[in-house]
Amino acid sequence: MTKRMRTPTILTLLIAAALAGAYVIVAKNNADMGGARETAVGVLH
Amino acid sequence: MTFTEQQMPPTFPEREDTMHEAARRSLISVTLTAVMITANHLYVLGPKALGLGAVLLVGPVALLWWFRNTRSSVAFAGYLLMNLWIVVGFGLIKGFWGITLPLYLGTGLAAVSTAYPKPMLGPYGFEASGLLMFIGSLFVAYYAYQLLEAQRGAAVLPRAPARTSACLAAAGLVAAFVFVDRDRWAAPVGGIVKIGVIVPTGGSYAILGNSFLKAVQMARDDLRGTKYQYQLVSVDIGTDESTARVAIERAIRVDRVDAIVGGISRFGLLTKPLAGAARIPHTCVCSVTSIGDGAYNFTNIPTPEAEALLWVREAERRGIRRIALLTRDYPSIQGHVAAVKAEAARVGLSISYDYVFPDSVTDFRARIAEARASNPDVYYVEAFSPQLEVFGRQLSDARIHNIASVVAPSISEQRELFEGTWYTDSNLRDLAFRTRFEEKYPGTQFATHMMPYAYDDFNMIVQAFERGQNPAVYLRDIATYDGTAGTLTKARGSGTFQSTPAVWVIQHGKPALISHQ
Repeated sequence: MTKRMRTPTILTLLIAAALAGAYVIVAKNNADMGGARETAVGVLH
Repeated sequence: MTFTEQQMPPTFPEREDTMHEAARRSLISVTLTAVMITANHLYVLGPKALGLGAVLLVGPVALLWWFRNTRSSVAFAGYLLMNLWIVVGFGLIKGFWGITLPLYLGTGLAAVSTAYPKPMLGPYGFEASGLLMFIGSLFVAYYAYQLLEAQRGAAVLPRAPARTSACLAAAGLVAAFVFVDRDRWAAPVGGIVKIGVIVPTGGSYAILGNSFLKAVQMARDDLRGTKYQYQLVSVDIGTDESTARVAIERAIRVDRVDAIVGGISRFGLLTKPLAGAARIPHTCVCSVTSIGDGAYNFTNIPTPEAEALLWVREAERRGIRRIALLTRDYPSIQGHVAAVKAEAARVGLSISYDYVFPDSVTDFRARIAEARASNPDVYYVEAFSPQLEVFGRQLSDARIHNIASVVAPSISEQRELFEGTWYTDSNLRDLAFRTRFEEKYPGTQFATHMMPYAYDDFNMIVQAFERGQNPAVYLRDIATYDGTAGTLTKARGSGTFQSTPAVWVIQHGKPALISHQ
């Protein structure tokens, strides 16, 4: 890999890792809250 | 002044090329970031975000085109100002502070200490576009700086101090977030704790809402020798969601309530984001468990699954093998039905008849005959007043008394129609609680499904203040709570208090707890 290519490659990998990390966090957060489902609501409760 | 070959300043064509290249890169970064900003704001503004996107895309292009053709300093300054708007307004404030820091740092801090709330995250598309908005703004800043250098033909700032300043600013923002994100104890102003009571008390919510309100008043009246005064702020939310939102916002911003106890999922869903934004705890007697985020919002009521588990266990104990279901087509009722069906299937009970009806039905006789023909051991009936009473009368006329349900008979306006009906509902550790309630408020029906939780929710918040703890942090830390509805449990990080329901029977026109007989 040339020096000219190294920086864009590293930046792309970092951004991809950040996006993948965000995906995992959001998925886990939704799972913790019952799948983030907007269950229909009722008069009873 | 003389120059060596390496020190020679750029010639005019060379400087033009540098300018052109810097402007091209700057415009590409602005365009891509504007696309990300637009995508992110679609989640908040809807189609209006396209207007914002148009401004962010057309504005810089027009200003740069103007500058290129006229060398106008106004055009150049305008272009840089638009860049500044993108970098500071969207990149740093919204992208970095509002989205990226909560997403990564906020989640991490909440994982290590309950003093930090779990961040309220949006859909992945919102979070990802917010992150890219921030990253894009870094490129915008970098290329705008290069463009400025190219335009001046000299460095704007010495490189090393500029880099150090940027690093220090980033570290400062991170440190500020760690400081600001922490929930801290603050003594109530004037020694008065204001607790908002958010529950509808009109229309079809009258029975539940009024008895909920009374249960909280009773909890407040039961307090003895407390360090602080506890003032209830009853929020008149009506029965409509738009008026309810305004009333809740007013309670938070104008009345400045310190905490909220509420009920009914429909209104709990409205309160959730408002309580989270105001960073005050909100307990909700709600069956929609997604309301309980474990940060500022907590639900407290048996889940449909817990009701179904006990219902089926009781059915087995009574030797029931076949069940006829006659239920209203209402979401919360069908939530119970689905859970009962699943649990019945798990243990091998069969559904002999299944009829779901709308609220317009008043004649059930043909359906009752069909259900009877299926030879069930029990008729599972669930509906709301007044349809419930109509149905109950027709079942009684057909001499059908082997009826069971979840919750419904408890809130019937004519419980005597359901004499002998057994059903699952919230537990009551101490039956004297109901007796005290009925003596104190003779005209108010005691709704077992909500009252003990309303009472307990209020007391949990009082305990937090009396112990000098931030109430939201205190609720996050609770793992078990011995309340009037038995022992509540909550998993670490969860916003849902779990409780075990009980089996009740209508006896002499009143609910009687079977385990207490």
